[in-house]
This record gives sequence, structure tokens and C-alpha cells, in this order.
Amino acid sequence: MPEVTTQRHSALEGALKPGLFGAQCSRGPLVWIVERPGLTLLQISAKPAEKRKVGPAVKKVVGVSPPPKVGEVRAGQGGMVVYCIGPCKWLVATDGTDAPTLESGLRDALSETTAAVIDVSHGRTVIRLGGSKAQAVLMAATPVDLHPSVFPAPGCAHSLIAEVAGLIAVEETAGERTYDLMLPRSYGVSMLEFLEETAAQYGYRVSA
Amino acid sequence: MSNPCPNNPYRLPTGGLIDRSQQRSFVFDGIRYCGYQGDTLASALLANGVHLAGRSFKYHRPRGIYTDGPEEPNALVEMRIGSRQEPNTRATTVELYDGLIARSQNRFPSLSFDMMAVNQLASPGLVAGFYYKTFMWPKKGWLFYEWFIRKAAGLGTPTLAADPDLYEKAHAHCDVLVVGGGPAGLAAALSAGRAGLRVILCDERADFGGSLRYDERMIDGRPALDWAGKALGEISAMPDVTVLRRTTAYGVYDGNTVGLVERVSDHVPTPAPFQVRQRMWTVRAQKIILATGAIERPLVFPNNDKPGVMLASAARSYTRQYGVKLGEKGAVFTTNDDGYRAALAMREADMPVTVIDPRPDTGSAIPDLARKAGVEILNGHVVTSVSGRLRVREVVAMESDGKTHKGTQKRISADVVAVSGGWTPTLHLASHAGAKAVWDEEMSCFLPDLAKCRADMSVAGSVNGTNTLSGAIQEGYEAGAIAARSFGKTMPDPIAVDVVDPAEAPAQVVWRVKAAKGQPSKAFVDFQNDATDKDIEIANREGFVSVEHMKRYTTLGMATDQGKLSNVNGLALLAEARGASIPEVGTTTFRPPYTPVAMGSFAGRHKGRALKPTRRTPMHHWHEAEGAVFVEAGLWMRAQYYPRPGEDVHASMRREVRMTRASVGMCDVSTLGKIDLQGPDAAEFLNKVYSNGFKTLQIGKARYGLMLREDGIVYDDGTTSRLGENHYLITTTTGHAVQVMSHLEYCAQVEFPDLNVQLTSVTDHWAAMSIAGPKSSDTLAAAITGVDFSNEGLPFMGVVDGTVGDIPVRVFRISFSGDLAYEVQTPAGYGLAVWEALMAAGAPHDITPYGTEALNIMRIEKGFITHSEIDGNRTPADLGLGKMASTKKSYIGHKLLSREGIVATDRPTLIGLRPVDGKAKIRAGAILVKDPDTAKQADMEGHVTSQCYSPTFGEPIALALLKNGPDRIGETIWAHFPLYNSSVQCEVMPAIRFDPDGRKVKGEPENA
Repeated sequence: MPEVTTQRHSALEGALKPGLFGAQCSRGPLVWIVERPGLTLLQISAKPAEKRKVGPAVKKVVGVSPPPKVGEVRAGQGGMVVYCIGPCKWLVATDGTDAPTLESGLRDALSETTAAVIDVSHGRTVIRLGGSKAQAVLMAATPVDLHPSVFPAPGCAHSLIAEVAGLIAVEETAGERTYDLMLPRSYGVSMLEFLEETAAQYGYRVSA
Repeated sequence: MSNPCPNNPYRLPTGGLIDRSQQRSFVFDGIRYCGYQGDTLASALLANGVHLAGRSFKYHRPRGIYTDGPEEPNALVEMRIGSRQEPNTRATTVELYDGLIARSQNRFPSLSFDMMAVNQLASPGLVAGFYYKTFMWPKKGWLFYEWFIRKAAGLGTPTLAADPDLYEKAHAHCDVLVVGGGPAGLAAALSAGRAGLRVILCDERADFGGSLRYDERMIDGRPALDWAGKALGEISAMPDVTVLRRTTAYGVYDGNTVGLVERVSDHVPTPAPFQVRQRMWTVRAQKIILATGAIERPLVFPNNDKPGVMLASAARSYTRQYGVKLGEKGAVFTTNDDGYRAALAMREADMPVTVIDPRPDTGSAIPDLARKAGVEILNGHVVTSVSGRLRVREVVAMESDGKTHKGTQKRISADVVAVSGGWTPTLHLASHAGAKAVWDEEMSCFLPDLAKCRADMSVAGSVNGTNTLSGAIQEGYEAGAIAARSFGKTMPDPIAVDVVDPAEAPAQVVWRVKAAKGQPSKAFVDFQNDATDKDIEIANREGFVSVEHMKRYTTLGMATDQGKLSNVNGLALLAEARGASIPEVGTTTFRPPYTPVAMGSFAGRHKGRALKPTRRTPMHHWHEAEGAVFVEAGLWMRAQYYPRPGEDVHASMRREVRMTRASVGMCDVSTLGKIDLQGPDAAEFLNKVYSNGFKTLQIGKARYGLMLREDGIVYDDGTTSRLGENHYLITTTTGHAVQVMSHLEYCAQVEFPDLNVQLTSVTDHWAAMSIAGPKSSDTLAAAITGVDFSNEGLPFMGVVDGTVGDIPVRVFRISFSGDLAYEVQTPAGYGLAVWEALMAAGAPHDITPYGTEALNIMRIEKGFITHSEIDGNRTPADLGLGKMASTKKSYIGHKLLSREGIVATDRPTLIGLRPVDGKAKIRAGAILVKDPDTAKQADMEGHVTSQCYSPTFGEPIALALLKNGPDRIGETIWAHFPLYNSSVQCEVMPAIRFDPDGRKVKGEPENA
């Protein structure tokens, strides 16, 4: 028997090759790509009637009330982030120390409600995109209006990304907008290929 | 710094927007020429004295460069060579680059001597509709004629090689899209941008400015183009403005969506590395401002298609923008004052010029200016013909009021004839959005009426009939400001421009100049389709009096220029022939695209392997390393079979079946759809969406379920497991996973909104593997802890959790092969580790991986159905699953399951087949008939749905749907395949051949 470890394998293993690629620009690569592997992602689905009970229950576990409007994103405790991905539907993401107990914590907190908690961690590949041309790359992939006035950071939108249904989340650090694409895992390699082909015209860097 | 081109006899020493320090060498029809940066192919040819650019479509008449824009009907060339060869490209829109190669079209052996020009001799027979009349006899003759007609028809040839370039599709959003970068468009973008709106400004040309590129006037005391440059500079520096050059807005669609195509690299020999050739933009604009300008209208007179005849605006542009001396002596035939500007331009190039104007001396400013510049003016005259073989040599003018001629024919020597019949607003994009074209009698043109326009659109400048420069700028600026106000922005300060717009005398309408006695009479309305004034008369005479019919009959207004030049003249002549007014005749509707769009840009990056995104399972790399051959299943890549050295597909899949049935095999089934169902009403929900009951399903148990459509037809099947009190896992087929998910979402939201359930697709979260064969339990027992694999510990259809090492797994005792079998699921990131662990645990039993081929063989042997059988026409009973249609509850499909035709007893029903000779292959799709020799469609009694060679039974087997099938076990029937004319005599068998009692899956002892 080979040794079996609980090391999670990413869908991009073997496909994500670090380095500089594409057109050479004097300002260096204008796009960077990195994977965010190993995230814990839990989806909470509730009925509108229980909205008032669900909010405080979730807050108890993640430290922040889940945002009420689709597309809103809030930071919780310990690096947790809550995305409102649909009416009464949230995604809680973390790679922090809370991760192993998050699912049971949420279930316990929500036990008084009929809300569902679904682990989708392994079902998503998360690719992060940044650089001055990251928006241009995404414009070739999605009909979402990414202009800061319409899609402020932090924020998220569910849409088609290069013909794949996924979540686009934006955040801003030090004036730079970065985008997380959360996609069904099985499309990971295909999406990476599309992003790399599109980013090649601007030059891009892949980091491990 | 000047670096003059050698042999550029018709290039002016100074002037124009070309860069004389940058030579550009190019080849046209095998001859090397020289031009400059800033030239188009057309302007460079003209500077080299080349006017002859093509042969006409039908009569093969020599044709010259007629325009300076996308409306060009004549100078269509074949660009580039090899895999980039591209036919029917307008030389007037091709930017010159070093090394450009182009060829003329529709000529043999050469442009100056074209043998097909004999068509001109036959031209009396080649009038409108000639092939409908000529190739009617004999009746079957068309098939013979067609070959020749197809040979003769069409211009240019495309390459058959794959396009080596990259294309991209992109989305953009803005408050205001301004189409057209002339004076009105620049002003609109300026005011909208100043107000802080998000603006996209596009122009089809490389440079902005529109008519300002060749306007001789001053704005604010500076050349007009300087104003454009300054405006563009300000616009480009605005943070929320996108300026797109070389970008054509080709269509307006619903919801204020506009299609743009940006020619990123068409102006260079090959795109830079990684750069796209073209980018197609889908723009969602809140508002659209059309500043698309107007296109000059030709005049219809005999021989008006001779090379050297061109639009007055083109003559101005070539002279002033490109520094081309168009010839030795010019003539201008105009019905309006604006045409005199071409005479002024040619005078600037030191050419003697004569203007022929049907109007008496108007005494207005521009003609006056021309007279002072030394232009000879013939008032009250028209051009009745021009002569010359491959180029105009002489103009024949006669005194005329536009309709009847008198006096003698005056012969005027000229090798360039600039013509102007007024202007036609470019309202195509407004028309796309439903705007009506309304005839304006005073201006003699169609103007856009936006009352019924579906888009939020406004128009500014000459597209709106505003033909003064100051008016266009003011109107554009105003349009931008109005847009700003509608977004609640502060309107920008008004714009003041100092520009002189001389008053113009009224134009005279001349739709056609009739031939003078003894002169040639062919006068072209549509150059590209070789449609003459006579063709329109013929169409009218033969009853094609509707403008739509006339268009189809004469082909006027078709092909790449889409009537940009010919439309209005054609309508006017039809009106004249009918004795009706132009508004009575009406106009045809413009549809996208405005100009031709390359197919590549519609595909973008989605071609070849990337046509659709590809899905890979968590164990994909393992299959690859194992040498698996993959097959596409929906978007998934699935391992089809794992050939060992020396094995072909057949040998491999048969071995995989034999090894699995004999011991153990494992198949990656991660692709099966998985849906997480939670909520207090989950059981009730399942009861409604499945035809069989689910309320009694216990925790830790799985059940096979059949999902019907509303009409009682089977939709999908799969197992559903109860994981907790209110928690279920639904599985679907690979192919229907997405549809079933949306079907269930629909049911939950629309059909049964009172049921409290939550559905989530978890297909990608779980890796799944099917372990089948008599040694499957031993294999799993060696790898998985926490599970009792005895028949009692984990009975058939049981579900239980366990671990492999520290990895959590869920084990389902279900079988799709008919053997003792299990499905193991684990979170996808652990899929590979668990797979490898199970392979290792199975090694002592000689475990084999098996692919979709072996999977399919085993399910056919067992008589299990897939979407080959669930083909959208089958009831549960048809598939031998009648017992699964509950009579104790109501569910989707229940009511209509009792329809007359559905309950008929002779419906084709699932059975098995074997060839009587034990050898012949039974083809899937073959029809089942009693006698193949006399078989007709009506004799069909069913058809073969699935087939394979069964290694287990040592012969070909099949599943089929046969009328009264189950009652006919043991009968013989023919599987007839008309396409290959093959017939196989078959014995009707039960559908389930393998282990019909199900003892193996249940782990019961074999028949004693």
C-alpha cells in the first residue's frame, strides 16, 4: 500500500508552471496569475423566511453578519470572507486555522434553522489574477462590467467566465485590484489555458 | 525628412497626411510599387498611376478605384498569400505596409486583358434575371449549367488553409458609445467625456477626423485637422474614455448592444507575437450616439464605370489627404456646390479642371471660389458619356436640363472625372435598431427617424442631414451634453468654434442622364453587381415593382457594399419607372453587418480543442500516465480504454471486461452528476420528481430513480442516497447532469415553491470510482477502514462512510455492470490518492482499470439503459421499468402517462438481440424488420439502440426496442441497415443477459 496522506491535490497540478511568459513588455509582465489552492469553501443556503435567524447564527461563527445583497463581500474574523452569491446564498471562504471546524461550527449554529451547509471546497479551483491588464484579460472572458464604479472592491459576481459558470470576486490591496475566479474544479486546466493564451499579449507571470 | 519613392509620377511633392520619410514597398498583380506610410493600397496605386483595379462581376468591365472608403464597389482585391489569403478586400480600406501583396480579381489572364470580357458582347442577354430565364430548358439542364455558373460567379478565392492568426472576443460597457470619429463624433465624445461619462469612441479608420482629413477649411484659424487632433488628445487623456481605432461598429442589437470589430493587426504583415489579428467587442452601451457621417452619391450616366471616374469626395481625399495627383486633366460632374471642392482640390494639384453642372450659374460662394482658382465651368450641362478603354480619356457633355439634351456634343479631354450627386446619410446602424428611413424631399435623401428605434440612440452630424461643419460640431457636442444630463451630470460648457460655412445654392436632382444619340448607353446604378438603369426598368416591366423584389431580381444593393452607393439611385429609378414617388416606393431594410466581418473574429479563441471548455476528472493525470485513450463525453475527457502493448481498442476493452468479470476492475465515474439535496421537505420533493417512491428510503440506503418529463417520457435516471434525516445525494447521468440540475431548480422554485429544499451541484466536489467484480469487496476491505464489507454489513444498495488512511470516503454498494460492485466517493482533492490506494489494494487480485468502452459493454450485457435508450421517446414501460411508475402518488409525468398512445400495448419495448449465426455485427441504429428484402419504412418494428461484442457471451449482442418485444423472446427478426445495405438475422432475447436473477449484485449464492 502506498502511503496515503490528506494532502489535497489541486486540479492545476502539472499545468501551472511558474515563470514569465508571453509578450515582453518593458514595464515587465502586465498580468500575474497565481492559484489559491486548499481553501475551505462552505456554501450556506437558506430560505428568505429564515433570513433573520440565519444572519446572527452565521455571525456567531464567522464574526460578521453575512452581507444581505447579492454581490457584496464582507471580511470576517481570522481571515474568513463571506460572499453573497445569490438570494439567501453565501459562500464562506477561509484558509485560516478555523477551517477544520468551520463546517461543524456552522451546522451547529444553524441547527435551529432549515438552512443547508454544503462543503464545496474540493469542487472549486480558485485562480487569482492581477496586474494592470488583468481587467483586460477578464473582459475577454466575461460579460460582467468590471469598472470600479459598477463592480467595487470587495465584491463578487456570478457569471460566465470563458463559457464556464463561476464566481468572480474582486478585492483591492494598495490600489491594485485583484480578481479571484472560483470555478468548478474540472474546468481548472481549461480555464488556466484560456487565461494564459489571453494574457500572453500583455506578458504574464505565473507564481507557484 | 523626405525619402521620395522612385516612379511615383502622380505623387505631389508636398502635402497630405502621408509620411514621405517612410517608404512602403508593395506588390500588386506581380509588379512592385512604392508608397508611403499613411497610404492606403488604393492611394498608393493611384500615386503610381494605377487606376484600373478590378473587373466587374458580370460583364468583366474594367473598373477603377471609385471611393476612399468602405463603400468601395470596384477595387476589391485578394490580399496576402498562403494561409492568410483573403478575397474581396476593399483596397480603399487597406492600410499600406511594407511587403504588402495584393492581386486583382475576376480576370483571366490579366487585368488589362480579360477574356471573360466577351460577356460584354453577350450583355443584352445578361440582364436582370437572365439565369432564371435562360437556364430553364431542358428541365434537368440546371445541374449541367450550374457548374459553369458557379465557376463564373463570385469574386476572389479564399484560402483552404487554417487561419494561423489569433482572434479575440471581448466585452465592454459604457455610458455612451460614439460611433464615428469625424467632427460630430469627436465633439460628442468631448462633451460626454468632459461631463465625466464612461465613453467609448470608435472609428473604422486608422486616424480620427473623418472629413476633416481633407477639408480645406480652417477651424479657429488653424487647419481643420488640428482641431480634430486637439480634441482627440483631450479625449484620450480622460480616464474613463476608451478610444478604438480601426474599429467598425458593424451591428446594433437588442438591449443597446453593439458589435464592434477592431482590426488590431490588419495593418501589419503579420501580428506581433501573441498579438491578435482582430478583436470582436460586444459593447453594452447605455446610450449610442451615431456620428457615422454620409456617403457621397454617384451619378448615373452612360459609361459612368470607366476607371478614372470617382466620387468627388474621393478625389478631394486622394489629392489632399494622400498627396496624389489624380491625372493630367480633371473634370467634375456635380449637381451641387460641394462637388466644386473636388475641382478646388485638383486645382491645388495644378490640374486643369472643367466642372459640368446641370444648374445655371448659381452665383454661390464655392463655385465662385473655383472660378477664381481657374476652373472652367459649364453650367446647364450634363455628362452624357465618357470614353476610353481602360481609363477615361474624354468626357462628352451636352446642354441639358437634366432630362432632355440639346445642342452639340462637347468633347472635353479629361482622365479623371469626379462626380457628385449629393450625399446619403450613413444611417445603417439606426436602421438595425428599427429606426425608419424617412425621405427628405428638400435634401433628397433618407434621414433616420428614431421614433421607433429600439435602441437609446441619438444622431449627430451629416448622418442627421447636418452638412455644415460648424453645425456638425455643435450637434455632436450637444448630443454628448444631452447624454450627460440624462445621467445627472453637470452639462459641460458650450463649445465655440470659429469656422466658415459658405452658403450653398440648392442642388439639382439628377437621377439619371439618358444616353445621347449614337452614344453608348450602359449606365450603372450598382457597380458591384453590374446592375444598370435598364435592369431596373426590366424588373419593373416584369412586375417586380416592390422594392424588395426589385432588389432580389436585379441583385442591386447586395454583396460587400450592400447598396451604400446604389441604394438611393436605384429606388429613385424604380419610382420613376413606376411613376410613383420615392416615399411610395420605400426602401429596403439595412441589416448587420455594416461591412463584412471575418469569421475568425466570431470564433475568437474558441476553435479547435478550445471550441468548448474541457472538463478533467481528479484522476486525469493517472489515466494519462497509464496510456489511456480519451473520449469526449459532453465536455468531459473520459478514459475510453487502457491499451496494453500490442492491443487495439477491441482487444483492450474485451480484456478489461474479462478481467473485471473474473476478478476486479475500477472505472473513474467522477463525471456522473451529483446534486446535494437538503431540507425538511427533501423526501417529498424526491417523491414528486421521481416516478418511483422515495418516502420509505432509509438513512444509509440508495435507490435507483427514474425521472420523467411532464409528458410522461423518461428524462433521466440515477441513484439517490439518503445520507441523513433531511439530506440526500442525487446522482445523474454524465450527459444530463447540467440539465437535471436546472430541471430540479425549476421544480423547486416554480412547481413546488412550498417545499423547503436546497439544491447544490456537488459534481466537482466528489471524485468517484466504480469498483466491480467478484473481488471488489476484498479489494475495498484491504484499503478502507471502518466499513464491514460483508453482505450483511454493507448490503446491496447500502451506503456507508469509511476512511482510506485519514482520507474520508463514502462507499455505495451499487452496480452498473451487473457484478458485485461498489462506488467509492471522496473529496476531489483526495481522488488521486484514494484511486492509487485502491489500485494497490487490488493488485493481488490483478485489478484492471477500465474505460467507458468496457463500462458500456458490461451494462449492455446486463441490459442497463443509458441515453441511447432514454432518447426522449420512451416511457418507463418501454424500457422495461413499468413497475417504477408508481400508482400510489402524484409526480411529474404521472398524469400524461395514461395517454392513449402512451399506454398502447404494441409500443416498441426493450429487448436483447443476438445474431443467429453468432458472428455478425448488429449495427446500432439498424431498423428491425421481418423481411429485409422488401423492407419499407412502414414495416419497421423497432430499432437497435446499443450494440457491442460481448466477451462474456463470446458473440455480438445488442439492445433494441421492438414492438411487443417481451412477448417475442425466441423469435427471429432482421436488423436491417439500409445505409450499408447490410442485414443481420437476429434472435430476440431478454434484455438482461448477464445474471438475470441479480444474484451477483446482491451477493447471493449462484444458482444451485
